[in-house]
Amino acid sequence: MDGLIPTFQRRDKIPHYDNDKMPNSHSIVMPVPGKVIIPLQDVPEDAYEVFVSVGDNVKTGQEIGTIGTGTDSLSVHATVSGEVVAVGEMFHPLVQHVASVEIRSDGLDEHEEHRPFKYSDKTDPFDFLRKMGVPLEYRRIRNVSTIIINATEFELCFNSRERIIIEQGKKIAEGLRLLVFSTGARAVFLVERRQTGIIKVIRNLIAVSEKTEIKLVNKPYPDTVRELVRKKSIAAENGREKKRSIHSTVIINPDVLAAVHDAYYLGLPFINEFLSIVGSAVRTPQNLWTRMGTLLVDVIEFAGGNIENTRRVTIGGALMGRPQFSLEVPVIRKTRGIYAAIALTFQEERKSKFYRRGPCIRCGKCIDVCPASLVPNHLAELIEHRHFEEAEEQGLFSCLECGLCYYVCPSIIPLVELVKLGKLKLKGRDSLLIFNSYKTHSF
Amino acid sequence: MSGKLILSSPPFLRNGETSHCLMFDVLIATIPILFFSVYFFGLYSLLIVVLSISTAKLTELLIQIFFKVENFNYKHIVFSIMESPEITVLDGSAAVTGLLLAFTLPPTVPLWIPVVGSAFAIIVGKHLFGGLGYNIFNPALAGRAFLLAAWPVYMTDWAAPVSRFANEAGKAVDAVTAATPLAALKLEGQATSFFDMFIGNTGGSIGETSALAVLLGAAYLLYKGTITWHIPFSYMGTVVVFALITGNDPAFHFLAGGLLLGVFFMATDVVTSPVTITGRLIFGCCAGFITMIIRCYGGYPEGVCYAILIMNAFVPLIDRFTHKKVSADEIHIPIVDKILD
Repeated sequence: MDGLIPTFQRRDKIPHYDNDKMPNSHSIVMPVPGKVIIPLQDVPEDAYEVFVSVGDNVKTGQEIGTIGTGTDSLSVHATVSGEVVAVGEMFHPLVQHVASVEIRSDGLDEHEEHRPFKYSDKTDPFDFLRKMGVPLEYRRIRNVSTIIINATEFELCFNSRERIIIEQGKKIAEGLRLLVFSTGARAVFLVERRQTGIIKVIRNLIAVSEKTEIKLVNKPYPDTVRELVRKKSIAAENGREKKRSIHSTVIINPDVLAAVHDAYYLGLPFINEFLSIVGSAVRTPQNLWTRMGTLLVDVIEFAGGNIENTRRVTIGGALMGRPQFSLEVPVIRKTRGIYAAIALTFQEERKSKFYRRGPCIRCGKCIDVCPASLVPNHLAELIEHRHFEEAEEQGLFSCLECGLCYYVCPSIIPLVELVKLGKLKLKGRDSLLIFNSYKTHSF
Repeated sequence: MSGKLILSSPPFLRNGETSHCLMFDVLIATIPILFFSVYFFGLYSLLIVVLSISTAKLTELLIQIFFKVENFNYKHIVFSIMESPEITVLDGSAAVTGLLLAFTLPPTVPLWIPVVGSAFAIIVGKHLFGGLGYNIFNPALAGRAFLLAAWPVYMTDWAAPVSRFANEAGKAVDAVTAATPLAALKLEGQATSFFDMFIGNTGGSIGETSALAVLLGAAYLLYKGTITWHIPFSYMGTVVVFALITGNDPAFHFLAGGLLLGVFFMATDVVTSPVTITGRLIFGCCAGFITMIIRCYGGYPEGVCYAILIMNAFVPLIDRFTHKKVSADEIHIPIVDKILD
């Protein structure tokens, strides 16, 4: 009845920043899971190498393969100690099957020692970080002029970035200093104005470093911005893009900076993923340190989730996540969080007619909220009538897939789905930013 | 083991607003106007409003029963109306059309005028173009323009408000004709006091006389975000600037006639106004310009209705030219550009 009874409540333009529903307690380290699935590919077309075979015993942190080959590769490490039980195609949360390694934990969690950079045989810090499996954009990071650290939280109720800045601020500052020192770039912390909790923390952290500044913005930045910047810079390398310094910009998440610090100074490979778990299926929203490759079912169970009644799970949040067909899929690199909900959905024809899709009434709300300054209602109309090329001219590939247009649309038009459909029809799966934003290879 | 998972694409969140909300917001915002019109013009004006709304709803219902629904079940008529997805008469858009049309009528018109007007507005103004979301012209204004062209005598016969301020003795002075402030200035050279115009104690249409009531409603709409500031403020800004340049009194043009009702309730009609922000500003400025041209140099004393209708016709053109065109290879990321500057 929410849409029928007139209320005097103002409607949000962006999801409400509700401090109470966020995981505000200290983060929790999840115990070592019984089994992990570690993917060696981002998409089934990727090259990969695998160094272990079935029956081998591995230690935590041991290198078990690489994503990509040769100098372009990123190492993959075992995240638990135990026995390799399978090598081959397994479920993956984004693309259905990729080559992966399944390890059954022996519960001992023996670590393999790695040396910090100072005592290692590498001379280039970025080669060292590659070897440690830290997902940076190695192709571009050597000659960037601006490093943007996105500390804004776009997804509803996620605050893993805030938590990690509060809890591991020193590590992040050190990691950032290292990157700034070795690239000569300036660094910008992107913080939303309403994130009052971390503004002061960041100000203290960057007080001593010269080339670092803090920038307050009014709206959160969706994660896919990073992908679009990367796409643009590749276009610039190919000579198609002319102007601006945008192609020498990288956007980094704070948790990666902490991983840079750990790898460089402590010799810890990148095996942990920091994620928020929210939604109606978990008892309390939490921030967890999980091992890479932990199955979603274990994560949700640990967070007090009701597996029986969980109906909707996404990697990523409720606005931009990727829906999951099974809970037997692993947590992959760059997982910001998990949204698990006990959801009721109705088929379109069983909904009340007031909540079905109506005609576009041209209210322009989607245009007002679009962070890419597009005209979503017009794009959707073009795609629905299959004028894909015309939609491309209207900036279809500048769409960030952030979902705000659907969030505000009073006619309940599936704008984001239509835009994604247009991208798929024109350039295939790789054009979807949601896939690209989890890529770690060929950066 | 888990149960079955639902595979559907995010976003799963909505802010809960539906198009019915927008329509009901407009209805709520007109409550002060209705109150003031009953206060100054008596219950007869309320009768006009009710007739207009019910005709609009009935017309829409009949059109949808006869032309949209196949095999309408007349036996269970209420159930069919509630259930059938093609019948959208309950969404409030017809009520808004009828209400706004009634607001543009003089308070003493014969009772068949609102009936004919709102039937015309719904049939020709809305459903001949394809219904909600597809109409080019604001249906309420189309209805008014039709009535003004067909029965100009009834449509320009203004009654003076029941004068509550002058007659303390409480003598009800009914059916005294009085000119609207604009007509009084244009045809007779009489000025009306600003306080009367602000409160609504002048001759004029049911909804337009009281600037105070309209501003109250507009404040609600702006607060709720049902309308944005772009069209009303660019419209009023143009009117004031034009008046200053040509030596007219800007405050008079601001308060007189249907300007405030037009800019806040008619010009901002979502279906018939441009979608882009630049487009909205262009729309408002041009409509303001045309209004003042008609008011100062045209034959009619009032120009808001025609100005908005003329600009409605240009909306597809404005939209086409304000849509951002990008070459296929180029990717725009305005929010990142903003950080780098």
